[in-house]
Amino acid sequence: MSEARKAIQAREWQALYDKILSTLGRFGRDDPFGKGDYYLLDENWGWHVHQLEVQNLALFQPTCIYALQELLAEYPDWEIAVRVVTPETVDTWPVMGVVIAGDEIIDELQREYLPAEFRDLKYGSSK
Amino acid sequence: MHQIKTDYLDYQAYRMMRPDWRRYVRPNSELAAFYERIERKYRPDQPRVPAGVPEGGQWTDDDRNDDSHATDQGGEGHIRIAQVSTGTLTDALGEPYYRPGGHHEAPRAVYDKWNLPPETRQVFKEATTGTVPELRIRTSPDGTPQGHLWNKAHFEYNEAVRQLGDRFLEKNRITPEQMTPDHAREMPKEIRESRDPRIRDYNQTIRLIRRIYRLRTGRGME
Repeated sequence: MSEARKAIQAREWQALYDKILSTLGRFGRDDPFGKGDYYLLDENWGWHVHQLEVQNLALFQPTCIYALQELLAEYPDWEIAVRVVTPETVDTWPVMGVVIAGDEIIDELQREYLPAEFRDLKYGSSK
Repeated sequence: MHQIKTDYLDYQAYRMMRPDWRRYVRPNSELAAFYERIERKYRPDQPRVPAGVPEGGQWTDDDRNDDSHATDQGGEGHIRIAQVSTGTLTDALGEPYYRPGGHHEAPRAVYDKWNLPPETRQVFKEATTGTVPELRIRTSPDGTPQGHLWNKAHFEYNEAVRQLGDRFLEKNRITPEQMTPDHAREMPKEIRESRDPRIRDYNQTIRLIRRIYRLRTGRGME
């Protein structure tokens, strides 16, 4: 990646990080030690992806997922990878979640593992 | 078709096996025989310890630099690092161990809570791996390549390092305000050498991804 592209990536990473955190503030509390509702990874790995670990499954409700997707309208190259990571299930559940892009939501939640109230989650035209 | 599948599975096993698997697998077991077969298949040229010494016949490591004080990083095997006389940390390929961006060995979540002197904070800020290649990996032969759903829990790493940090302060009988840059260099060393699987496996995975990328593309990330 060229220096110019790196600088753009870093600027966009920070701007989007702040916006995601602000949006998620309506739905719960960020905690980097897994004791809140979610943890938005605060390290820039150089990707066009923000990584969100979710402890409170209510954040997978479409209202929250769509709110995050709206943020990507300004950032067409970016995605938000939202992964289920609850302390009780981290070693027993498979890696799963949803990947949010500006124009699609890739749904990789495995419903059979989720509590009953989350098995019917649907995201519009998700894959 | 059968041969292709066997080769594929063998190769995946080779990619996933730890270079130091002998520390964890019972000698002469079925699993040991399997790993030995995979090693013979993919690393036939790997030097062995000569017969006649206690480890005779076992594979040894081919990138050891005898001129440096190389240390086995708690199972990192080929991704060992070396402290050279200049004080600069380098990896097994002789490149700087720390680079701008990427994963913080001591997470911000840990040191941001500490009231550190600025020069000490700066050391923590610079202890990063460099950007991490966004490799997409198939988890099954027919599966979709995945890269986004990282299979390590970041918060577990943060919590493990937080505990290590608390022990570090206690052991050195200091408060964060008393932490010097030397302390700040010593703590990441303890992180690098930690045998806590929450720390060791996470760092190992990131270094491994960087190394695979370098081997595949012949270049670094920066």
